[in-house]
Amino acid sequence: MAMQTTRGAALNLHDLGKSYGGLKVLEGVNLNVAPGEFITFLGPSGSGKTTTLNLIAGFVDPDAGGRMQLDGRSLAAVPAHKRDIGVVFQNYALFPHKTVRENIAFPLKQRRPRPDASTIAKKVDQVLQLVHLEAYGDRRPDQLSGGQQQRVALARAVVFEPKLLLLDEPLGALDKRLRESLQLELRRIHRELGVTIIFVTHDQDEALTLSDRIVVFREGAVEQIGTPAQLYNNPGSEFVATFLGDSNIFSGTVRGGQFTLDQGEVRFAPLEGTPDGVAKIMVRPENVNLSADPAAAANAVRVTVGDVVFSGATLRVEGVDASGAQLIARTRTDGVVPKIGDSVWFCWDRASTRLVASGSGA
Amino acid sequence: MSSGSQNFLARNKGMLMLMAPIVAFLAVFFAWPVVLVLTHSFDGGEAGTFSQYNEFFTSSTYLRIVVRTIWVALLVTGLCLLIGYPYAYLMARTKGWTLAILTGVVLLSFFTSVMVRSFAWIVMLQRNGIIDNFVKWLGFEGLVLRGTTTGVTAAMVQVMLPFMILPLYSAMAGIDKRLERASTSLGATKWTTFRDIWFPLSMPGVIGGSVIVFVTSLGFYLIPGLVGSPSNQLLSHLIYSLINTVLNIPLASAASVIMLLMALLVVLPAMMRFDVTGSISSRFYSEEGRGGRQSPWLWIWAGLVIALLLVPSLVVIPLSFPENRSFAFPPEGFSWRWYENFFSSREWWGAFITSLQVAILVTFSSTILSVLAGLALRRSSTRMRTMIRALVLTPRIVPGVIIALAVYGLFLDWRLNITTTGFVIAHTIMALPFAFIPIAATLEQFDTRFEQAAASLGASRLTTFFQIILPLISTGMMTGALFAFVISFDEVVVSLFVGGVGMRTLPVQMFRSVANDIDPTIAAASTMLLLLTALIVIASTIFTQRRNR
Ligand SMILES: Nc1ncnc2c1ncn2[C@@H]1O[C@H](COP(=O)(O)OP(=O)(O)OP(=O)(O)O)[C@@H](O)[C@H]1O
Ligand SMILES: [Mg+2]
Repeated sequence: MAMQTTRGAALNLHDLGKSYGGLKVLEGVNLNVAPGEFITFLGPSGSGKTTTLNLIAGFVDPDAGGRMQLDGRSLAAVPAHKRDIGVVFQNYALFPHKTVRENIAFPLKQRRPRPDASTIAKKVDQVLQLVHLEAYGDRRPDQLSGGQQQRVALARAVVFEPKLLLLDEPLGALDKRLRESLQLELRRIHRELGVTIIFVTHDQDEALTLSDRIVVFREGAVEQIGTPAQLYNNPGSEFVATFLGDSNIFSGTVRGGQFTLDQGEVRFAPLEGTPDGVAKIMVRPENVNLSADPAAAANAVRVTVGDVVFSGATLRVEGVDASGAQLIARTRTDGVVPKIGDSVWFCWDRASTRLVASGSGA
Repeated sequence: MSSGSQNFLARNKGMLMLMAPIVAFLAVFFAWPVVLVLTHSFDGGEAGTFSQYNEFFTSSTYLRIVVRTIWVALLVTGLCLLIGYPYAYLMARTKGWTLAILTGVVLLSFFTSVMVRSFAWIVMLQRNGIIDNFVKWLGFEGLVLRGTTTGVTAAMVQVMLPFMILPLYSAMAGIDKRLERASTSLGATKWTTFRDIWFPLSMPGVIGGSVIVFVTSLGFYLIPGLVGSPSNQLLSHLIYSLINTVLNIPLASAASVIMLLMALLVVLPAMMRFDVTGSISSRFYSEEGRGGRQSPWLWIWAGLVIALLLVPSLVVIPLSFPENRSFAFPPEGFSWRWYENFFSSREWWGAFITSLQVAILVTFSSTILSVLAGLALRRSSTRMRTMIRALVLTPRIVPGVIIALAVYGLFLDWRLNITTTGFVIAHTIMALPFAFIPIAATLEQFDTRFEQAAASLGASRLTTFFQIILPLISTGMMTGALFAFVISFDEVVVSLFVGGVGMRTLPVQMFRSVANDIDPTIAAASTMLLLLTALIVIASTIFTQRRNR
């Protein structure tokens, strides 16, 4: 590839917080990003994702006490235009009065010393090639489709070879197919350029497929950080468990290492080493099997089938247990297919149970 | 100083620096001298007494003048609203060329020099003027309206009408036309829909237009001074003669205070509820719910309004070609001598050049100050914004005579009267509100993310301003600059005070000419101004029409 491969930058956030007029919207954010890593910020609306990006980009100043370092260098006194961080905005923010080429050349013309015209032209060509828009250089932003504008925004943000790239829901306004193709393109560009990326999204699937690690935000704080597999398989809280993927949650009590529900026909395998008190456990639907006879299973709950949805590879069975909780099982389609109203057992093995909350605080 | 306020200063340093020029300018050249005028009203006799006010309120002549002033202002406001509302309604219902023409007529009238229109009204209303002769020709006894309150009111309505129509239209253009459809679909008749939906939603325009027309009428000097007579004086005229003929500054100041209080009494309550001044010039356009058939009555009404707006100004054209020194109508003979006189006379040509110089300088000063203040607006909290806006727009609600008196007093001390600098400062005060509104509006709509994007791409603040912000706000800025130019070029009252022998602006030269002798050169000057204005408005209408396509 023609573009130079840059080594991505390391980013360290320490105790970052932000308040607006006494109202804390972000608190105690700690994060260490390795060079070249692809990090996703995931969380519900208003949880502080954009605020964190704005702090990193230098568009707003953090509260006193927070520290940010890019490749070990403090960002405290560095204004936004000297940070060398590429940003892709949610609605692209392409300059409407400049052509695609002029938009992309803009950051290059801000470099000091300023590169000569032929160098600029060459780099613009390279990056247009990178995003497959060679033929569109002379158009204005309003003459491009949403996906094309998106790619111009990306091209503009990477052309000056920043070591860190911030993307705030860059694919949010696009339809599903376009999103998926741009996701692939983004992964390719990440691989080819080696740049560190922080990517904000609402979309859990996007987060799971793209990222090296995911940072889950909740109400202005970091809830959990981990690889997609870690978060999916070992969610640290009920919030994370329900935010990423489908889940079955049981709220009950632990006494002497044994979890029990208040009502219903259930059997749970013992949870060793869990303190006494209220607790919540979770099992993913794909780990649940249907059975008429629970005797062989480590865990089993009796449910009444509410709905059965066939979707090619899997069968999705929804049911209600005796306490009224909605439960889901996703099984292979070649087994028994229950009918609505049937009473069946949802069974799963010992290793599939996850404790997502425990102790008196749960 | 508490650490809280230090924090405020540190946090808002950029904003405060951008604000500083306009605040300093208005404080020194506007607020301070106006306050001085107000304090002068307590001068004389024993210090700190109310002797001026005593004198004022015990004189039945003065009281009658106050009552007449309020009455005329109310009458003018009511008539403008009545005449302008259906017209604005039709504007909000049409699109394309129809709308362009309806708008163009209002803008043409708006931009036509007030002095030109005042002159036109004089020759229409005076003895042996157009109306008088026409009535005689019909076989009646003749009708001289110059010097009557009716004549003054008619002329003022014609001059003020654009100030009513523009805010009305901008409020109506902003009404979501789907609400009407919803109302109709819910079973409301056309009339109910108008009364319950349209009219209440057009209220900001009604209030905005009425306040502007009322306040301007209250302090209007030109037409009452030229078309009226001493026997039916209005307050502004009284103030002027108290200064210039009686030389009773304290009493003039007291009258100014009374006038200002009357204006504030109307403006303040309206400002609490509506963005009164914000709607002067925003022209917002959506095709939704426009077009289609409108009642023929509306068209007839619009035709009459167009005639009212245009015809009176047109009478200056034939008056510019007579052979003899006369304003008789119809004029006798034909010659170009008055045009020749305009270009060869030192008085006329010199005044024109002075006006041009001053207006160009005012265009720059007002535009630059407004852009800086507009940039500050973007960085401030909502409360700060309201304060900035109120500050810049106050000169719009302080009657012109008061500003004239204030500036004149200050310039006496500073030796700025009869200087270009003096004119530029005085006109900038008057032009700022007009330049500020469109410029601030575009800057406020300007998306912050463009600035953030530019910063993230490495552009400094200055680069961002010149390469990103400036090109994107150029339309609003040009509009503001045009307003500033026109206001300065057209200004009379303040210039009457600030100017003097050897340094007059063109409108002042015209004023002196009308007041003192019969010289058709003024008609030649008026004709040329009229044609120039028409050319600009027509060209810009065609330009916008082409571009909208
Ligand atoms: N300038 C501001 N003034 C006051 N509050 C603000 C400001 N900017 C953001 N907030 C508040 O901070 C909180 C976090 O906002 P933020 O934009 O970071 O959320 P987000 O996670 O990006 O949400 P979304 O997914 O909807 O974009 C919100 O409650 C928001 O209202
Ligand atoms: Mg956001």
